[in-house]
Amino acid sequence: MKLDNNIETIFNKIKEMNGNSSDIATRIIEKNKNRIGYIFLESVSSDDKISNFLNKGIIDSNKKKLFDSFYNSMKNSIFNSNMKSCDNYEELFYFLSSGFTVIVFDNEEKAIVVETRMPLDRGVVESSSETIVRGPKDSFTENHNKNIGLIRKRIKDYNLWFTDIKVGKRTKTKVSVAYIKDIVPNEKSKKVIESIKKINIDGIIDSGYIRELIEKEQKSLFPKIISTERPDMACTSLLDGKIIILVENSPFVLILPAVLNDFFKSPQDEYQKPFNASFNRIIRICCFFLALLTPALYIALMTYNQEIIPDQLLISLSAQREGVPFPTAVEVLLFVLTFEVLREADIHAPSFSGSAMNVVGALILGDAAVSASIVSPIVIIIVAATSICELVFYDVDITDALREWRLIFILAASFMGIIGIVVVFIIFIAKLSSIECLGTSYLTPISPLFVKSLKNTFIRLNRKELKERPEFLTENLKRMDDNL
Amino acid sequence: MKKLIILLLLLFGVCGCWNYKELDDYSIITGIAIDKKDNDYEVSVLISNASKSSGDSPDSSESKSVVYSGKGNSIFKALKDLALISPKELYLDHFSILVISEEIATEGVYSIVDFFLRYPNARKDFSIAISKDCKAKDTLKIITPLTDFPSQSIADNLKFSTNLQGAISDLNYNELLYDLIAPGMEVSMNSIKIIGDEEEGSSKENTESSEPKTYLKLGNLAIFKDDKFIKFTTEQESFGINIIKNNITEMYMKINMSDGYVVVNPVNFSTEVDIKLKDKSPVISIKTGGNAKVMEVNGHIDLEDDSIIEEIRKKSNNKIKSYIKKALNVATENETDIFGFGLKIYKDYPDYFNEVKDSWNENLGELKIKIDSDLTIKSISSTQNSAEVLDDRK
Repeated sequence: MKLDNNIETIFNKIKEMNGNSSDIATRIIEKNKNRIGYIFLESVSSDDKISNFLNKGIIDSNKKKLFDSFYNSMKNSIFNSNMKSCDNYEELFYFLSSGFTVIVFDNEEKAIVVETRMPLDRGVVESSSETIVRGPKDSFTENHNKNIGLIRKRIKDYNLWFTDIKVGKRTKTKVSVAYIKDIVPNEKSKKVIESIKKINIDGIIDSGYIRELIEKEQKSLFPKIISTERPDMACTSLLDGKIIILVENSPFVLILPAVLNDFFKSPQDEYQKPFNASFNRIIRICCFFLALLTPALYIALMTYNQEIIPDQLLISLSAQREGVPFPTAVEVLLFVLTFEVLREADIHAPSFSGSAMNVVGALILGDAAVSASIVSPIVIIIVAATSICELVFYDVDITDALREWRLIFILAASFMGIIGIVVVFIIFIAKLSSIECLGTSYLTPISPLFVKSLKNTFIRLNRKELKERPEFLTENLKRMDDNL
Repeated sequence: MKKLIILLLLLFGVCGCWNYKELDDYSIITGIAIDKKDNDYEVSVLISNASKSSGDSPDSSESKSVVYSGKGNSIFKALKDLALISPKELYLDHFSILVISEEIATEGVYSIVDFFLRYPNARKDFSIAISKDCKAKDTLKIITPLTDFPSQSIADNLKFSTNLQGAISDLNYNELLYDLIAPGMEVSMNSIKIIGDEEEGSSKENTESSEPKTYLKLGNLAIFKDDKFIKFTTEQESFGINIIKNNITEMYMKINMSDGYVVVNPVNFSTEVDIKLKDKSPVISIKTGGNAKVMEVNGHIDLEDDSIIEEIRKKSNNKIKSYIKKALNVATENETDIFGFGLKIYKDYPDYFNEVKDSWNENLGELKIKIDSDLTIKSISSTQNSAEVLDDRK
């Protein structure tokens, strides 16, 4: 809808379109027989900025008679670097909601919009969900520009490209796709941008929306896209040849494509000595399988394949089972689910009830359940070990995927013992290798095998050895000159 | 893919928890003893009373294990008879010791080995021993304060004494089968006896006293011919048998000297048996070797004197030779090749062995056997001369 050429008409139309919302503020100033009006939303605009830039500009515009129209003289005298013009109501509303002030004129079907945004976000603080000991501590925030800034200040290369796309019919959320032009193959970045452009939805609230909408197949429990709060992690991925997606109002940045091995890495690995990093990675890989299989193996051994248990252990296990009324599978399921409930409660419980949760979780559920012969002590050990193993992961999504697969393994073990575990494990591997994101298979670089990329997979070699980027991500491999 | 997964998951349901059994539905048998009673087999099983073994109160009044006996005209029947007594299903997968009585052994062990070979769940690595001067059942009943289960104490005792104490060699089921089946090889098996009163040994008081009145002791080897028990050997004969069979890495020998004695402890001890066919008759050479330590000196023996060391060495070697000779004697007297000489010949000269195999055991005495012992005294342990010798020199 085209803009009208009368101030009052414009004001009335805007108010009418927005149902006379109380935060719409308007003012008309008369100067030298010319009238200018400005309109802004009190809730998202800063009064200070409006007074400083706008009023001053209007007053200054008097002195300069160089311009042919009042519109042009205004446009050239406002002290604000972020100024745009706009000529229809839809766009005008977008600017108003973004904290811009709109200046309208009589006899002019165009409006000037000036950025007068109120800072409606928290500052850059330490990441709460992804903590590390050694390494940068800052994290992304809800402010889109700040997020881009956190990346820009780390990679000062003109090849770092940001492509903005507005997504959401109502929210009109800014989504930026960032990649390093000469590392990422053209078709990959194009594919990502295309798939985001195709999204047709009324609103995007968080990057989680985008992740779900651009993942083609939803069958896999494992995440194909990493989401991170850490700018250093985003930049490492950019340098490796990955593409990142920043979504306005979301502190979580998406990194793609992800392979399973990425979840065994922690940003800290890059800052630690290679030996320590490798050791930690091997521990994480062991934990992956322990978290997946421990309860299932326990059930299989206790109810089907007792002959595998060593003599002494068998007697002690049998003693612990004595008096427990439930079958082993029910016992394990009961406690695995109890832990999941505890974890879920812990996330949402306000901090003041934390200590009460501890008492209930540790004392009542653990100790009393054993005393009451509801579970055997070994089951508590199994569930505790499993839970600790799953918590070593840096990414929440992989923990959730592990949890679901663990339940499948438990079911298989309680129906068929070791054979069930083997069958489900085969399905598990088949499922993993069928996951694919941007042409990269999920088990890369092991299957398909990329020998050179193995240098930074299970172990991390010395940085001097890591002269090349992962082969499966890019063709521009050279990261470091040979003469080092 | 989705359909395939659903189909595979359905498969789990189809088999209906096949072979599902909770661990606490089982009575875990840790030891088995087989006796003969009125022409029937009496099979006794030692069941661990698991609920008490890891309970909170260590001084619970109940004992940690229970011995049940069942009778039947076959071993399987006897076990089924046991099932009527036991409140839970008998679980044979994990037992660690089988004790057979002298009576059973005299009748022949073929009658009992087959059951355990055929029974799918039984492990094949349990130890076997023969009870001496007592019922096999009684050996299971003796409670010792040091281990939780009597059977465990026998099995552990066998395991740790083997190779370190000359007379003992642990024989497990697989080895027994091999010795029985292999041509030119006969069985020798450890014996086990009760010292003290059986009745007292099975009561709780036995474990509460700091000096248990009744306990189990491993004894010397019992030798068999075919599958039948013949006799218990003496300690020296057992030494010899284990030396020839290369079952010893450590042992002890008391060497009498002109004035007092020394005790020698061979370590890294090993035996090589070499058989050659010369003019259609086998020549067997037994060669032992190893290092020895002097462990104990009693009397005026100057260990700094090389000639004394040489004397000890010669006497040690002679002692080993005498053990070997005694072992060979007992074998020839009873006409049973417990050393497996025949098996070695069968491996190297099968044609020759097939000619003589029918009379092999009977003609054992006619074999030409060369015995050679090469033990060196490597060390006199942590000190030099004994205090007695030092006192002389003052």
